[in-house]
Amino acid sequence: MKFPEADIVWPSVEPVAAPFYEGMAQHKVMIQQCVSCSTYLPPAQVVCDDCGSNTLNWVNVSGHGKIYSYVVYHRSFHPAFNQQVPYTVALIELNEGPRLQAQFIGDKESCYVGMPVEPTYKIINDKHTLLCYMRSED
Amino acid sequence: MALSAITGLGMTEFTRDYQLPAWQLAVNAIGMAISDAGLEHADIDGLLLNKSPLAELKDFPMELQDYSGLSNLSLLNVVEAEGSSMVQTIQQATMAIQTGMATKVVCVFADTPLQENTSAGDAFAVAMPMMGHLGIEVANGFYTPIAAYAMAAQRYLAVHDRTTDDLGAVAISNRRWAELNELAKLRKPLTMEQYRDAPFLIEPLRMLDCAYPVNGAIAVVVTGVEDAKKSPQPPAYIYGMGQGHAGNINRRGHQPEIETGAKQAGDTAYKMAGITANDIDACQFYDAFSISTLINLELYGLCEKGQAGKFVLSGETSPGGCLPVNTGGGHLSGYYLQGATPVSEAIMQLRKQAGTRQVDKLDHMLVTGYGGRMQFHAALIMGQKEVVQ
Repeated sequence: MKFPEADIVWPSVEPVAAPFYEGMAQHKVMIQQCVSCSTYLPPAQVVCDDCGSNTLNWVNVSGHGKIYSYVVYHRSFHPAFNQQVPYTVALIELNEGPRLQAQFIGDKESCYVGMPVEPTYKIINDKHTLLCYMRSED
Repeated sequence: MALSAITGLGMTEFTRDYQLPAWQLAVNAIGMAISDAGLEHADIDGLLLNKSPLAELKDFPMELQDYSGLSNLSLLNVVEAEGSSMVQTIQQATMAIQTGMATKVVCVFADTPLQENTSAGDAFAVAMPMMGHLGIEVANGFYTPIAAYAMAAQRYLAVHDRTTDDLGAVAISNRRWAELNELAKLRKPLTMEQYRDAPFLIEPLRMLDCAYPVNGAIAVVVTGVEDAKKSPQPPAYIYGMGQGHAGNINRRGHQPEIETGAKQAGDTAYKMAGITANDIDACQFYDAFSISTLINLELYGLCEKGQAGKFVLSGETSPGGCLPVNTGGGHLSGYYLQGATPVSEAIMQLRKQAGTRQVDKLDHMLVTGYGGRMQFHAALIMGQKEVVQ
């Protein structure tokens, strides 16, 4: 398998995920909330995994949370990331409960499970802004 | 009391270079398994195909029936449950035999991750779904299944306050078994010092924590208990079966990375077999990555939570230990043919054809498969006698 030459890779955004990406472009963290039982859910759901309701709202949250787990790439598996190695990808558990996957920006040696983090935004080009995370002073 | 038995085993050569397409490897393994069971092609009335998640359906199609010369089938299906598929094919075969839908069922897996100009690393370097329809993984650079298992490993080690030595212990235990297995691909002794000195690939995992892919095919023949008595080979009996699919709930209160469906699969299989985890004499786990052996030892009830590393470090899963695990070297040091690897080693052990790595007491062996990011689990309880006293 040969990867296409590319400076960036970006998903083809599905309609169920569009509000998250629109929020990200405006430096906002958008997640979902069940209208029926109020459970906060990660973005791009269509059914509440707690009560089964299919009536969900989008909500803007602070995006603050803690590192639930993380990995450090010491090798690139895609040409678009060759210059970024070593880079860290984490699962962030938001204060509201849902978890988001994002790159962690900062010294990988400082990263630990349970570390408080907050959003930061990587401007990739005119069209694309990526939600990332950095250490929070909280 | 046995539900069914595996009476035929067919294995092609396992290679690190591309020789034949997957469908042709499958045809060869199917023929070998039928001969091994002492049967003719006309005797086979069921065919269940375990397609690799890497392969296109056209590379492993329903027409394998025709390519294999099977024209008398009352059961035919492609079972798609990722790495749990091979165990699931054997479960479906057993259910079909129990209900009378079929009597002699071939289950087959084949894969060719190693192609000309493509390394195994490239073959598996797909973006790893973790966030469902959000699709953000490609932009985050979250590529290869290694990353998903590294995420699980980091969480496991942090929650239980353990170090990567626990992972190294699994790699070393597998390697010690592989040293005794002529089919295994990585047989040079491995020490903890060598493990610690190896660079991280996706931290906290090293290359030594990852499966060793090969091209090849494995097929088995599943029959009823009465038919198995006519088999030229010692039957490998099946007493219990279970599945567990715990879902992927990404929010507080749930830890799908380390609290998987393995527990449900094990509990169901133990209950069906009329045993508990204490009765298990040996395990053949699907172990695409070292971390999964630690988690499986705990969720299948064989170690307390967080204690699997100590258990493996003490040598209990290695040759001479109290609970032999992955006695052919597993996926890490043996050969990675997904769910077919643990099944093949189970059959060789239960037939007492495992040479210097043969385990003495095998009243109950746990044989498992899992797929995806450890989301999909299937388990068998197997043994050497029709009825275990």
